[in-house]
Parts: sequence; structure tokens; C-alpha cells
Amino acid sequence: MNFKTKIIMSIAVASIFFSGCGDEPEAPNPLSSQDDDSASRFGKNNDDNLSGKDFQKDMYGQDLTLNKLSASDRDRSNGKNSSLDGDLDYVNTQFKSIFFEYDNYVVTDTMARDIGENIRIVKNSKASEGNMIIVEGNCDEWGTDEYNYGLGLKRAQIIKDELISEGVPASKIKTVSYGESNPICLEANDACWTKNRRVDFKLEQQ
Amino acid sequence: MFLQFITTIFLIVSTNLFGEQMIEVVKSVNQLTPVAIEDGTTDPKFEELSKKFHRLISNDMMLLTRFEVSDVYQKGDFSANSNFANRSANYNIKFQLYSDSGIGGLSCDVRLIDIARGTDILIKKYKINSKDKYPFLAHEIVGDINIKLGGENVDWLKKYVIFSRYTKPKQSEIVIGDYTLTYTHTIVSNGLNLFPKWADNSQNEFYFTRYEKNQPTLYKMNLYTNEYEKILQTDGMLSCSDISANGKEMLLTMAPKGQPDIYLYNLETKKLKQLTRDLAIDVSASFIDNDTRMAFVSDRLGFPNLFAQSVRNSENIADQLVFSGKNNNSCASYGKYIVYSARENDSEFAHNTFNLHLISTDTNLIRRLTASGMNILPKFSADGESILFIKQTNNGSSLGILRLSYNKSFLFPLNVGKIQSIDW
Repeated sequence: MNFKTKIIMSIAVASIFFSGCGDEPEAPNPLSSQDDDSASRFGKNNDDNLSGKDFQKDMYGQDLTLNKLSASDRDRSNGKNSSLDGDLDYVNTQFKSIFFEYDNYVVTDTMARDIGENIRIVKNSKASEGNMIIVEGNCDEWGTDEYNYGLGLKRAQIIKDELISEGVPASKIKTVSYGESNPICLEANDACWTKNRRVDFKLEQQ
Repeated sequence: MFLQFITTIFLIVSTNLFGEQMIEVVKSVNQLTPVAIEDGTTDPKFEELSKKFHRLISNDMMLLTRFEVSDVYQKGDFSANSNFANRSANYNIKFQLYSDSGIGGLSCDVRLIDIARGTDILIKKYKINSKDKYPFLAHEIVGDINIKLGGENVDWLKKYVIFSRYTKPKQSEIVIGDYTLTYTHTIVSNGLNLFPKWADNSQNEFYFTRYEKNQPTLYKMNLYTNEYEKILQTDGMLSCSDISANGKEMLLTMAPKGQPDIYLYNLETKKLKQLTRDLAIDVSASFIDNDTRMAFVSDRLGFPNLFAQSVRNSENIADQLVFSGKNNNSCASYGKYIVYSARENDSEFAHNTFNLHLISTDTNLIRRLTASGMNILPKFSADGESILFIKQTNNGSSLGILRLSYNKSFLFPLNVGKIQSIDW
């Protein structure tokens, strides 16, 4: 897959995802109107999405040399893409989820590598300037109510500690636990539960 | 009432290989009183409802564990004497459902007949303003009949259950219902709404956590006026785990510094006191011993287990409460009694893994309450006589009621979705 194809697919995936999450909250009752689902906010960022399309069109129109492509690829992997690294939506699609073992919040070497990649994106993307880094802890369905929320938070906190140790200011990081409320896989098997024991990164306007 | 069972039971104490003491509790068997239930409803528009009503009364009577009740639906003439088919029963409950003109709700006439004497012990008319709430009408009737037949007050039958259920990722709603969840009504929706907890026994108000811009926020809401009040907001996580008997203090799990710890919050002075300071996960605190101490779940020894410590003294010394099980969580308390859910086999994901156990703070005895399935989210009834819990098996979820004094459990099939947290 070349770079152009990757960009097109990323934007297409992002567009599909965000267009499906744009429900407006009800207004009258504040208890109903508060919508912490950041996807709603993403759905309003039409200008940002348009700039992404413009960028895509420009890329098609250029006869790029191999050297330029390599440089772009390298920059993108470092969160430095000249046009997209300021795009909150795009940068959020680049973060890797960090997966944990059952009932565990210890960071392994493999996880540390993925965390390192996320830290590079945070440090190098323009989108991280002025926005908060939200570190969301999640659990599988095993265990019950409060303990799972505590476990999710410990997972998020250990990632926050890694970020701070790499020089990211603590004031820019917010941790939150979603317990078992935010599964990405709903089947009842170990492979699926593994996907749900994770920490997600997200940049968000505050 | 709950304490009576301790004195009226046989205790069979045994010791297992590891020195843990296990107890089996068996109440001396009383003769059950045979009771027949007849549906005398004549209005055809209540035909389906009256069958459900018959089932509810039958289930409630069985749950009291004093009566021998046939669960076969039986029709009868409300104004006639007892049906000949019921001659072997001691008592006959007759009911007829109807709608009073202009009320819009549901009315029910009830007769409780002493069959041998041929006399009415109870003749009463009941009304409820909403037909949907008919389960509460049935629970009210059974409560009255139980007292007429020499039983105890069973107001817990009429208590609301409040729970949070997941609807989709990062979305859950707060729902109330009767204890069988036959009646349910959604109170709060939209967003992530968790850990509902009744403010006091009157059940007029409840606390719950709502996520607002990634910040867990504790609210208090009135069930009848829909008025609400923001209590606290913090990063990370926030749950109201228990309320003191006087309703003035609450045990919270909070993480203002990213570390889940237990705090005591005084609702009058608005002061927070941090109770645990271990680097472990400390959650699910529950008042015990006249609200002077708390039981809580902590993984400070490497796996979730139960501990207890004072909520009044400044020193934070925790005592380990349980010395068996591999994953002990989801505890609830009543006085000195604590019920908790424990994983018992080595496989992390095997079925039939979580069972409920009952312990007392003044003994090291453990009473196992369930034998199969995944039994979670236990809650004591207001009188401590019963425990409500959720049971998950390969066949689906059920709401369970354990009658402690009688060593009996009852299951009601659930179709309300995945329950996050529940309070009774």
C-alpha cells in the first residue's frame, strides 16, 4: 500500500466513523444534554475534514519523486506530516491502543514500544498543541462494577506516568476510566476480551 | 429479624484441608401452609394481565417460604365460596382486577378465605394510579396477606430496585423497577450513567455518576420532581459505594490523583476524608459495624480481596477479611454481615466461576450461598433477611433472591440488558 492509498483510506475510515457519531444531544435538560462522547464534536469539524480532502487532491496532482515520498512517510510516522499533523481527527486515528493482560496493569516491552510510538505522535503533531491528551482505561467484561473501573483507571494512570517520564507535561494529560462500558469487540471469547483490555489515546479540545 | 436466623439454625461446622472453616446453615424445617390462588377477573380486557398478576402473587407467596403454593393458573368466581378443588388448601386468595371509571389506573379486590371455617380473613380493595405498576399492587397484597397469616413485615417486596444498564459503548441508563424487574422505568438516559445508589430508605432520591466531558460527576436526583444537584466532580473515576444509615455520610471511590482510593464524604459539611492510601485498587466500600468501620475490595495483596478498616480513626490499618478465593469482589454489607462474590476455579474465563459467600465480621466462618453460574452484584434487602443478586449462566441472565433464614433461592429471568450496577 503506497502512501497516497494510506491517506485516502485513513480519511475514508475517519469520515465513515465520524459521520455515524454525530447525534446531537437533547437541549432542555442538562442531565440529558451533556454529551461526553467526543465523536459528536468530531462530527462538527467539517472544515478540518475538507482540508484533508484538499490535501488529498493536491497529492494526486503532483508528480512526486521517490525521495519526497520517503520523507513524507518518515514525517508521518513521527506525527510530522506537514498538512495532517494539525488535524485532530487524523492524528487520533494514528494512535495505537495499548493492550493489557487479564486483571493486570503492568506494562510489558511490547506495550512500551506502542506507547513510545504514541508519545512520538503526541510530541511531534501540531494537533497536540493546545489540546488535552485523554488517556482512556478500559476492561473486559470479567470482574464487576467498581473494581473494573478501578482497574481501567490504573491502566490509564500507568500510561500517563510513561508520558510524564518522557517529558509530556502532566497538566496536558487527563486520565479517565470507562471500565467495561466501552468494548470494541462484543463476542464472548478470549480473543475478543483481549481487545477490550486496553488503553486508548485521544487528543481532545478542552 | 436477620439475627434471629443465627439463633434458630443448626450449624454444621467442618474444616477443609486448608484450615478454612466452612459452615452450612439449615433452618429447622417448618410445615408449609397450603394456599390456593384464584383469579376472579371477569373483564376480558384484563385477561392477559390477570394471568401475569396470578403469577406474581404466586411467586411472591413462594418467595416468603412459608407457604406451599401451586403455580398452576386457576380461575374462579370472586364472590363465591372457595372452589371445591382447593379443599386441601388452608387458605384461598381470590382477586379480581378491574378499572374504576375515571381513574385510569388499576383496581383489585382481594379476599383471603379461611377454607376450613369458610370465613373471610381479609377483604380489601387496592388501587394503583398506573396500570404498568401492577407488580407493586401484587407485592402490596402479598405483604398484607403475610401479616394477616401471622408473618413478618415484608416491605422489601415493595421496594424499588434501581440499576444502570449498558445500551451501547459509553452509553448507559438509570432504570428503576420492582424487585422482579417485571416493571421497569428509565429515569436517566443519554451518556454514561453509572453506580445508582438510593439516598436513603425512603427511596425518593438517589445518587449516580454521570460522565461529563470525560469527567465523572456525582449527582443526586429526586425521583418524583426530577430535580438534581451536582455533588462532586473529579478526574479518573467516581462512585458512591455506600450511604450511612442516617443518610449524612457516603463512602466514595475517587481518584483525584489518578489512584483509586476510598473517601468518606460528609454531605452536611461537604468535607472529604481520604480513608485508604495504598497504591492498590481500593473500591466498593460498604459500612459495617454500626457505620464505624467499612469493608472494601482491594488488590493490595496481588488479587482482589476483602479488607476492613475504621472510618473514624485516623490510622489506616486494614484487616484482611477473607482468606480463601482467587478473586473476591463486589461486596455488600448489612450490620456485621458481608456478602461477596468470589471466583473459585483456576481458569480465568471458565464458566461457573463466581459464587456468593456470606461472612460475619466477628467470626471467621464462611457460608457459601450459591453453587453454580456467575453470581455477581449482591445487595441486602432493607431488613437484611434477603440478598438480591444477578446470576449469569450459559442460558442467560437471571435476577436472584436468596432467603437467608430459609436457605432458599429464587430466580427470575432477566431481559433488561447488561446490568452495570444495582441497588435495592
